[in-house]
Amino acid sequence: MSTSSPTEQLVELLASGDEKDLAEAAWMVGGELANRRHDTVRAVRRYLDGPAAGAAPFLRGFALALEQVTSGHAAAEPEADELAPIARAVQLRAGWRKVIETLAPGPMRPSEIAAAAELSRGRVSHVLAALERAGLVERTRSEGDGRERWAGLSPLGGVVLEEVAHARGDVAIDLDAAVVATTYMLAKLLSRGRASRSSLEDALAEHLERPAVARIADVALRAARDAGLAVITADQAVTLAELHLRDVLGDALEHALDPDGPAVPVIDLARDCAPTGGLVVVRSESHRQRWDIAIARRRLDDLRLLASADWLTGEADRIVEPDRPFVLVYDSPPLARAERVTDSPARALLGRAESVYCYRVPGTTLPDGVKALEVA
Amino acid sequence: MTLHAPRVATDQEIRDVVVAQPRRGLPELIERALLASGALLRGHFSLQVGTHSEYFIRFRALARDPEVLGAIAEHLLATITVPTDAIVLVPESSGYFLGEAIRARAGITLAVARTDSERRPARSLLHGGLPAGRPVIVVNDVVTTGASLEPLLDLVADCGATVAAALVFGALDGTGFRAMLGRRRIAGDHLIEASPSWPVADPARCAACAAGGPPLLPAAELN
Repeated sequence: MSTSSPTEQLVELLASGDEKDLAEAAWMVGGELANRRHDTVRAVRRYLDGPAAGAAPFLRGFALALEQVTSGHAAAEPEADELAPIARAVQLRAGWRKVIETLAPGPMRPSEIAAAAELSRGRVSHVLAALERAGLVERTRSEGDGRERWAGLSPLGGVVLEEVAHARGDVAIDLDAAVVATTYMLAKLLSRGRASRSSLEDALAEHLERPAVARIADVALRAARDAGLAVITADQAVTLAELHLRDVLGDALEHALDPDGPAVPVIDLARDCAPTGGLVVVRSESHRQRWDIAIARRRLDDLRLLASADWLTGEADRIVEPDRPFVLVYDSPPLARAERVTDSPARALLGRAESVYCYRVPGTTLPDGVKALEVA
Repeated sequence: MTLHAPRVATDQEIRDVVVAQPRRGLPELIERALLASGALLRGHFSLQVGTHSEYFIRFRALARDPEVLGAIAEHLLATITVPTDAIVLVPESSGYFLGEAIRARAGITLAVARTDSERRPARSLLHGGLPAGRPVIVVNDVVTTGASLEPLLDLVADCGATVAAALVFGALDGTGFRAMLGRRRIAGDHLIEASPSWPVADPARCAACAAGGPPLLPAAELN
C-alpha cells in the first residue's frame, strides 16, 4: 500500500468492501475532484463500471454519486461524446426511465405517456422537458391537434434505451447509498473550501430524484455536523418547494435574457414592490449572474442585483445608493432566513430597507416580517 | 508575511502584481480603474483551474464604470479585424459585460453560453444563435491560460460557425494564453497578465495553505 499511487490506493480501499475503507475512498475522491485530477476519477469510474458493477449497494450508489458529481467536470473532456450515452443511462432517474421505456414502441402524446407510465401529467411534462434538454427525446407538433406535441425517442434516446434494457442491467438508484457517498464527497469538498454550498445544492437538485433531496439534505447536515463542519447549518437546508422555486426562477430569468422578449411576470412581481423614486434590490446567490445579465439586457433601471462578493469589493454602496429608498427582494427563502440570523453585512441593509420581500412557492415558510412574492 | 481575509488590494500591490500591455494609455487606465473599483482582491483564492492564488480580479467591479468598460472594449477591438456579420459569444458570467460592450461598439449580435455549476463556460447555448458559417468572437473577462475558453470554441465548431478571434481582459498566464491561441490558430489578445510577484501555486505547494490560512475562497463564489 505504501508504494502504490493514489489511484491504486483508492481502488484497494474500494475493493476491500469495508465500510470505513469505502468512506475513506469517498473522502479521497472528494479531494481528487477538488483538485481536478480527472485521471484518478476516470480510473475509479472504470473500476466501478467493470469489476464492481454487480457489487454492494454502497458501491453502486458511490458510482452514481461519482457520475453525478463528475458529469459537470467531464463535459469538456474529449471523451465526453463517447461516454455520454452511458453517463446518461447511469443518471436515469426513476421518472426518466419510466418515460423512456414507455416510448420504446414509438412516439406518443404526453397524455398517453402519463396513462401508460402511471405518472401525473405535470410530472410527464417535467420529465419530457428534461429528456429533451438531454437530447434523449424529440418533440414534434401533431397535425390535427396543435396544442399537444408528440414525443419520441431521439437516436441517442434509442441508445440509452438499449443501455437500460441490456448492458447496464439494473440502474435503479440506490438512494441510501447515493446519500452516503454524496454526503462524504461534498462534505470533503466543503471542508477544503473548494466547493460552495451552492455547488452542493446544484449537485443535489440537478442529479438526484426530487423526493430524495430532502432526505439527502438531512443526512448531509448530520454528517457535516459529525465531521465538525460549521459550513452547513440547518438554516441553509433546502426543502423541495425551495428547490422547485429555484428552478422556476432560473427558467423565468433565462427568458428575460432576450431583451425583445415578452414581459417576465416573475420580474414584474419584484418591480411592483419599488417605492416611489426608489429601487428594488434583488438579493440572490444561486441566480446572481442570470439576474445581473437580465437586468442589464432589459435595461431595468429600477432593479439592482446584490451578491455577497459586492461587499468585499465595496460595490454594495454603489449598488444601493445611500440616499435612495429601496426594498429588498430575496430570491431564496434559505438566504432570507440565513441573513436574518447570521451576522452578515446584509443585516445593515435589512434595517434600512422600506420592506423586505422573498419569492415563495406554497409550502415554504418565510421569517417574520418578510412579505411573500407568490410564485406558482 | 501575514495573509489576511479577502480585502481590496493596495495601490502598491496593484502596481506589483498586474502587468498591462504597453499600449498608449492602457497601463494608466488599468491602474486607475483597479484602484477606483476595488476589483483586485488580496486573500487566498482557489481559481477554477484548480490552482491557488493570493489575488483575484473581480471583473464585475471594473465593469460598473461604463467609461472604463468602454475603454477596455476599444483597446481589445483595436487588436483584431471585426467581420461585419460577426457574433460575440460570451458565457453567462461577468464576461458578459465585456462581451456586450464589444458587441455594442462593433454593432454586431450577441450569443450567451451556459455555465456549469461552478460557473465555468459550458458547451451549450443559453441565448442567441450561432448560425453555421458565421464568424464568432469569443469573449471572457479573466482566464488563466484560456483553457476555460475551450468549451466555447468547441461550441462554435459544433454549430458549424468559425472562431474569428478570442478576446479576454486578463490572461493570468499570458504565455500560456498566447500558446493556446497559437495551437488553435486563432487571432486574439488580452490586456493584462499577472506579474511574477503574483503568487499562484498548485494546492500542494501553496504557501498560504502551508501557513495554515486564511480559509480558501472559491473563485466561483466571487464571479
